[in-house]
Amino acid sequence: MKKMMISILMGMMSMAIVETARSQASATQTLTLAVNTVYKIATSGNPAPLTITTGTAGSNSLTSVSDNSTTYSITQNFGNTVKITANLDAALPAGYTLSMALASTKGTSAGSVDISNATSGSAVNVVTAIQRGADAGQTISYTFSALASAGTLSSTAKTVTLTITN
Amino acid sequence: MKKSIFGITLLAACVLMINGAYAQASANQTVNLSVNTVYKIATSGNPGALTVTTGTAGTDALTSVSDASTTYSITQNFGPTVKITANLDAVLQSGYTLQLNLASSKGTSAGTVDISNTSTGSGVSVVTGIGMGADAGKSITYTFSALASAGTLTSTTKTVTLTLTN
Repeated sequence: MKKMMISILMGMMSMAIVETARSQASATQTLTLAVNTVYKIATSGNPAPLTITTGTAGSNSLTSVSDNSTTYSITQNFGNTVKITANLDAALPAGYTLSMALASTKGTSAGSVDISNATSGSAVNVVTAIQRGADAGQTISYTFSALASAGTLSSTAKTVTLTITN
Repeated sequence: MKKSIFGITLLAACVLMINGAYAQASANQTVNLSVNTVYKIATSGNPGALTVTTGTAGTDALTSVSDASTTYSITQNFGPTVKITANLDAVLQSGYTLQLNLASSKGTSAGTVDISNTSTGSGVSVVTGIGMGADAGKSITYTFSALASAGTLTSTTKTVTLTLTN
C-alpha cells in the first residue's frame, strides 16, 4: 500500500514537471515583404573645362584634350542585362568631337565612344551587361577634339546625360 | 419552602441565561486553491507592407524600410526567467534581412535582432528576464533591408511567431 502511494505521488510530480516545462504561448504576425526595382546613378560632379589650345603644323586635327577627374556610381537590382547610355542635350557642330569612356567593374565598358551626335533620342551605349549590385567611383574620361577647319568654338556648355536602363 | 422555590427558580434562570449567551454553531470547510502557470501573448495586428523602393548610387545595400505600427502584450506568472523568442515560418533568401525589435518594461529587450535565418525550432530571443506580471502595448519594430545584388523580390508573405516561454 505504501509503495503504491509513493508511485502515485511520483507520477503526479512527473506530470506537474512536464506541464511546467512545456508551458508557453505564441502569437503570430503576417508580414508582407517586397523589393521593387531600383536604378540609381550619380556622378561626382562636373569635369573641368575642355579647351583646345594647340595643334601640329600641317595637321587639320588639333591636339585633343582630356579630363578624367570625375566618377560615376551605380546601384541596380534589376538583372544582368542593364546598361548605361550617354547622350548630349544637342549634337555638336561638325568638326568637333566629344568622346567619353566609362570604366566598369560590374559590366563591360564600350571603351571610348563618340557622343558628338548622340541626343536624347539617339543615346549610345557606354557600359553594357551590368550585373546586379553596386559599382562605385568608376572613372569617367572625356576627350574633346576639333578640326582646325571647323574654326574656333566659344565656351559652350553641353549637358551629358548618363542613363542606367535595361 | 417559599425561599427554596425562589432559589431554585433563580438558579434555573441563570443557567438558561448562561446557556443562551454561549449558543453558537461552527462548520469547517477545506478549500483547495491553486494558480496554474499562465503564459499569454498577443499582438495588435499585422504591420504594414515592407517594401524597399530606393537606394544610393554606388551602394549595394538599398535603403531599408521600417514599421513600428504594431504592439504586443504579455501576461505570465511563471517566474523572472521568462523570455520571448521570435521565428519566421521559413528563412529569407540570401541578400534580404528582416530585423525585429521588441520594447519591454518587464524584461530586457535584446534590441534589434536579425530573424532572417530563423524558422520553426530555431527561434531567437528578443526579450529575456521577463518578470512576473503583465506588459501591455509594447512596440514591435520591423526593419527590412535588401542588397541590390540580390535582385527584386515580389510581394512575399512571411509569418513571424512570437513565443513566450521559460
